[in-house]
Amino acid sequence: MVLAVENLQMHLHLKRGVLRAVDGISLAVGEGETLGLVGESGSGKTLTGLSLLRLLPKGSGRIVAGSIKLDGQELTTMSESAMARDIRGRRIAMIMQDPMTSLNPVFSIGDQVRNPLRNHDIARGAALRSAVVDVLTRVRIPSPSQRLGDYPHQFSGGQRQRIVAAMAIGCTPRLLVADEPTTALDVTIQVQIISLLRQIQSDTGAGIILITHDLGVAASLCRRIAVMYAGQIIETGPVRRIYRMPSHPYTQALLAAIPRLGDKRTRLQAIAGQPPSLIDPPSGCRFAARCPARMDKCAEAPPMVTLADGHSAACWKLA
Amino acid sequence: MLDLRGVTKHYRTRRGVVRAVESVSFAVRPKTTMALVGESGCGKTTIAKMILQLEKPTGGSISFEGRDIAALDATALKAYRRQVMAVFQDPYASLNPRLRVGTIIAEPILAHANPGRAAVERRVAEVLDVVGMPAGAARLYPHEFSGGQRQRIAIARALALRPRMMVLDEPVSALDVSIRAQVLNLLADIQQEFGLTYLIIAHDLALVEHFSDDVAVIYLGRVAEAGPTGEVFATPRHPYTQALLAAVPQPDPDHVLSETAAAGEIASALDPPAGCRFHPRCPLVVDRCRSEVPELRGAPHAASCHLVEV
Repeated sequence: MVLAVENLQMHLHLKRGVLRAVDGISLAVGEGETLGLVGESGSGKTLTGLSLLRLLPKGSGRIVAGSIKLDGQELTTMSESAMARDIRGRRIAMIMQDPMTSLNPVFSIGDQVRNPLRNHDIARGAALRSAVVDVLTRVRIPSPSQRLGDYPHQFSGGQRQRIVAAMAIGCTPRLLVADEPTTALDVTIQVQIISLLRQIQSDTGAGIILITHDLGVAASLCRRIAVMYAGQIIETGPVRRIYRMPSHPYTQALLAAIPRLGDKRTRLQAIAGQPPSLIDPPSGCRFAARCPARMDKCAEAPPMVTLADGHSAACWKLA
Repeated sequence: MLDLRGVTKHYRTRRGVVRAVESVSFAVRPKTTMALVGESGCGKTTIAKMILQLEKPTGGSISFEGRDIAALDATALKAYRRQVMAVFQDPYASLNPRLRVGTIIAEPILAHANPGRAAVERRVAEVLDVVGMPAGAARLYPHEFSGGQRQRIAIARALALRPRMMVLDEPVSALDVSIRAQVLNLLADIQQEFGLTYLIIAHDLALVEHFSDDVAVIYLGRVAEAGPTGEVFATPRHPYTQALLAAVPQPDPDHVLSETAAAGEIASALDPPAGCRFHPRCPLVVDRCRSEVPELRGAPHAASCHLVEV
């Protein structure tokens, strides 16, 4: 296992109260495996990703329980300097949604791709330059050696996202956390980035956590899916089981709510209401208020029920 | 209802002329939904702005119920503005955070007439009810609502003057999946109830297929393909439409994405390719495509491609 997370809890201590942003998450990512972390905004998927790197909102964010193991090594108790030196950008790298905000507009792209390689002592001198050109070639930036001095605004949106990917894979991380890497891009460019992520994975064997709200993108890239709702994983399983036999009422509702190509004009099945506040969330099932299959028992927290090998869902209906 | 003929928009900039929209023609039939699809920068929002008279076309004409909107006098223009309303993408940016929801919804009413306080309040309560919000929402501020509720408020504002047509610019793309369906269903209900005509701008092809009667696919400021939505999606004629459809990730793990249908990236509108604007990315390109601009032929299901048989 590249990554094993057990019962991770990350809370935000705000003036309004304690927001249980990540509330008891367990997940695992194997060598060369892509796990899709799927959910709506506010479900905690991005904060889960950031928690793995211990990049928490300053002052308010705290990991209060649980364990994060990277190749067996515990990260929650690691010193901040060791995290910065050995983990962030080195063994766990992140690709963010918007390449315009993850690239610095006043530094050349050569500088920005070079920085992680130099900081983590991957290469020096002439070898450093050739490593930069090499990684830009791998993400298919045309004639990279002539473009090292160019700035982010001189590249298109798709190319910028490739440069961000180059920064992330330069140090051959064990785990790549890709947070909505295609959301800001047009569909024809999105396909190119999806294929780039596939290629990176087959070249490097890195584990990938793909954070997305787009069930189409998740289906095209992931081997396993974890569905998040209100800070918790409510269903997890192999990608075919999740799309063919979704078991949690929320997963079912989510899949029914999206229009699909080839569908006739019919009414979409909307999910009434909205997710609960994570300050003082309901003590039972957090989806109960919106659930068509709600029972009295849902006032208690549902158990994670194993349905098949690697497929489980947290719902009383299945218990 | 709404008819665009050869509409062109060029912007003069220091770096040259941006050819944002080039000779676009289409018609929107009463009480139907027409969709404009295309990638960012293709000109679809510029087209919407010209329809809303926020921009003036460089060439061509836009007519509403047979009258050229550029030739309307002040009174007729005001009447046009109350008949054609807009809902924008981001309900966080389109609602003034300093105003109460009731004031936001009343603004268009007061801009056109002053029917008296009681009448305005009654109308605000009515449209809030139409979009499924309690009348009490009028006293609150936008930040007290979620994204989906804010978009309902934006829709209520657009409805306040009983328009005949609405321009919906990416009305759900800022919303979560589970909320999108609520808002789309609401828009469909309102259309039925009030006999509205919609022009929707969207980049989500599945949504467009689901929601529209007619569609125009725009590439770099030109119409690549247009026709009844069912036909365009079932038998796309233009290689660009085919590429777009092949590139949409489907919520199906066994669906295979085409990585080759449209290589490269959209060109700049500052210096669009000669001939067919799609030719540098087209897998089927022939010599003629590099020099000769293809005409849009074959209506009602028309495509602008030299290779399409009519």
